[in-house]
Amino acid sequence: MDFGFTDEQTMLRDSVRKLMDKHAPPEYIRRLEREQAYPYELYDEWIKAGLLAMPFPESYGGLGGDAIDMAIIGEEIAYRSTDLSMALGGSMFCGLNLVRKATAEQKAYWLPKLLAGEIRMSISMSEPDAGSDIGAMRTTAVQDGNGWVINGQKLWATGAAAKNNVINMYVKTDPKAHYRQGMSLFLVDKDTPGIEMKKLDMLGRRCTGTYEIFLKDVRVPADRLVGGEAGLNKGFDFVLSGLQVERVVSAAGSCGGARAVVDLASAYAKERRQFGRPIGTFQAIAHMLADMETEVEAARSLMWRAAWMVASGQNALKEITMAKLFCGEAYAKIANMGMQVLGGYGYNKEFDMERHYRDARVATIAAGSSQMQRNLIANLMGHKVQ
Amino acid sequence: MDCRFTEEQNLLRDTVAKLMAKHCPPDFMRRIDREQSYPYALYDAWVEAGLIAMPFAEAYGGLGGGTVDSCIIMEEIARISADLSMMIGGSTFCGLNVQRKGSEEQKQRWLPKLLKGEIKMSIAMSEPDAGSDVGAIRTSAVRDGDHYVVNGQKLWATGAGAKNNVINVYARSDAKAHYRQALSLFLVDNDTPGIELRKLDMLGRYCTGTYEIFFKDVRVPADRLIGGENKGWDCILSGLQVERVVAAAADCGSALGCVEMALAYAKERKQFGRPIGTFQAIAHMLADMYTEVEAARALIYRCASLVDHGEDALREITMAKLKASETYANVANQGMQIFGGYGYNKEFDMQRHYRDARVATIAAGSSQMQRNLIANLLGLKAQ
Repeated sequence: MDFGFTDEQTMLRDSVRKLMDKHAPPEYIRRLEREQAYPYELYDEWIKAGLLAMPFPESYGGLGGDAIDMAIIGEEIAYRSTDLSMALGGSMFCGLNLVRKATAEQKAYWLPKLLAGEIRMSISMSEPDAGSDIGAMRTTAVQDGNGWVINGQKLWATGAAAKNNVINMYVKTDPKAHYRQGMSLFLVDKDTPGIEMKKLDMLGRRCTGTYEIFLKDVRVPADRLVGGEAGLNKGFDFVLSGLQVERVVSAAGSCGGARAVVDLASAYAKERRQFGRPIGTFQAIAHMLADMETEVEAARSLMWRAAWMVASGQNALKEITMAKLFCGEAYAKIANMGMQVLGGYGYNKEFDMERHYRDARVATIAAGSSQMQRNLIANLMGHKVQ
Repeated sequence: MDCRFTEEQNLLRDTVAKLMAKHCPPDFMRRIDREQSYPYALYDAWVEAGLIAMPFAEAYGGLGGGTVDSCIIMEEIARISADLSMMIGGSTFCGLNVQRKGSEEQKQRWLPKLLKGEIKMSIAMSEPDAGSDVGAIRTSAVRDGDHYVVNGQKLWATGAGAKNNVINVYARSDAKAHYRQALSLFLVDNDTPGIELRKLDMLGRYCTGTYEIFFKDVRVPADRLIGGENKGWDCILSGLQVERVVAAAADCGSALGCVEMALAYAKERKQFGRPIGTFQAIAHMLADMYTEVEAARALIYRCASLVDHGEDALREITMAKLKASETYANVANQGMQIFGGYGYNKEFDMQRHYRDARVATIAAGSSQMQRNLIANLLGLKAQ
């Protein structure tokens, strides 16, 4: 048994840290946050450093990394900002979906562009009435001559309006079938005629951006149907195929964010003096920090074990679902405790704690809510939960 | 990274699970809990299977196992009973202390006997006024010729009254020095003249037993001093990491036992025409319980592998002890809720876990002391 990193993994972690130290120092992140601006310069640095290429096969310009490498990258970027980590996550997860499910022509066309940073990718699945209940999706694509015509409305589409973004959109192609046999995945340029996007005013994660998308007679060429004819109505399989890696990286992001909060709160508690001594020397505060640190390390142990299981090709659905649940809840809980430790300074926008508090709140909601994770875990325990 | 158990470790787990199923079935466990009796035959079965010998060096009859192996053994025993896991814990931890700190003669004298089951070992450190505050220990050992004379009183001495038990007693051998330079460790047979033992009536963990010990002019030969005079504190520290991670493994095993029990009940028990586990209110409690246990387990096995790789893991291990014990107490409480009236009924095992679990956050370093240590390791000088 060995929970340690290989030398290569340690090197990867150190290089991501250095990259983030250099290109995303606190002032940069505060500025982006204030301006609610997408981190284009930083994204280009990630591309240059090969972070996006990491998990892709070498035949498409990738570096052949695994789920552990992805979790390392996810955790270290999220340590600076879970918001920003979603900009990379979108491209990575959508691209890996193509590796698994696209036709050879589609892979040859899209992947090199993606890994070179010429395009970005983002996912779009939720709708006003279809959140966890994916079957309630109403946006449709109807075949028309040589292509498809999409109509409907999408919600909570992260990073959809970034420059050169290609939206990976799940829509119904057979509205009468059960959703598991009636959904397809299309690659839609974000500025295709008929698309209207609205950046939504969210509590947090304001840089990558969350969008509402209105689709009115949006014409999409036939070769944008992922998987070609064979991919028609197979969208749900696509969703499932990526679930494990996506959830473990999401869990890694929550760990990174949570670790940052503990470091911020711990540093503050050493500096801040009240009643003549640093507040961290009071047990009331010290024990909060000890509990926070313990939760983070339990979360990380669970997450690394799950990442390792995925990387070594084991079915890790249960472990990953638990990691997603535990890490998301840990980040939200720890951010809340961090606010308490920092007092008025935590509440003040000149400091980073309130950003974590806002960014963390969605960790238990996005990429499968805690409630849906618990349903799945309970089902995997043998309960047919209703 | 490789979080896998080896084939040998999986085999070890199966062996312990089978041994426990055979020698400690539910009826047996309920009976000894009711009678508050020490299961000597079970201890002998552990000895025979090499479970006591596992972590010891081959030179003394051990099997040369690592911390992960010890964790597996503890987890599987504690899955049935946290109480019983303390029997093996006592002998294992005290024996390892002798292996680390004893002279070659002492090791040759004590360890083979311990590993063959001819003797058991238990620890006695706490006193009425000395719990977390070890410095307040008042039991004294005064040199008298080739003996030491021990006087005083010990409390919460787990398993002290078992047959052929050798109590590992920490006593003050220097009345004036700071406690880190004043304690000594002695091996004292529990039937030495001048020793009086009283089994205490505790909320849980009835079988191993918790004792109060009175020492009145107890003469202990000088060759039973382990690690040198006034070196007791070093003995305590030297074993801390392994003991805490293995104790944490026991908490994980017991917590898993609770979850499995509650899970099985929720599948069987029908209300409103369907198994209660199909209601989200119950299903999500079980999902959370299971998730908490797996997080604790991931943490302890990460720690155990750090220890086996010879790394300093004090911070991680302290967190593991805190997390695992709080998790056991927490899931036992939730398990009671799922079992309803049946959980509260002594014919069922859940109430035993609920009682046994409550001390997990108190014994072997309370959660409050773990948090102090973690905070100090974070660089906060908590007072």
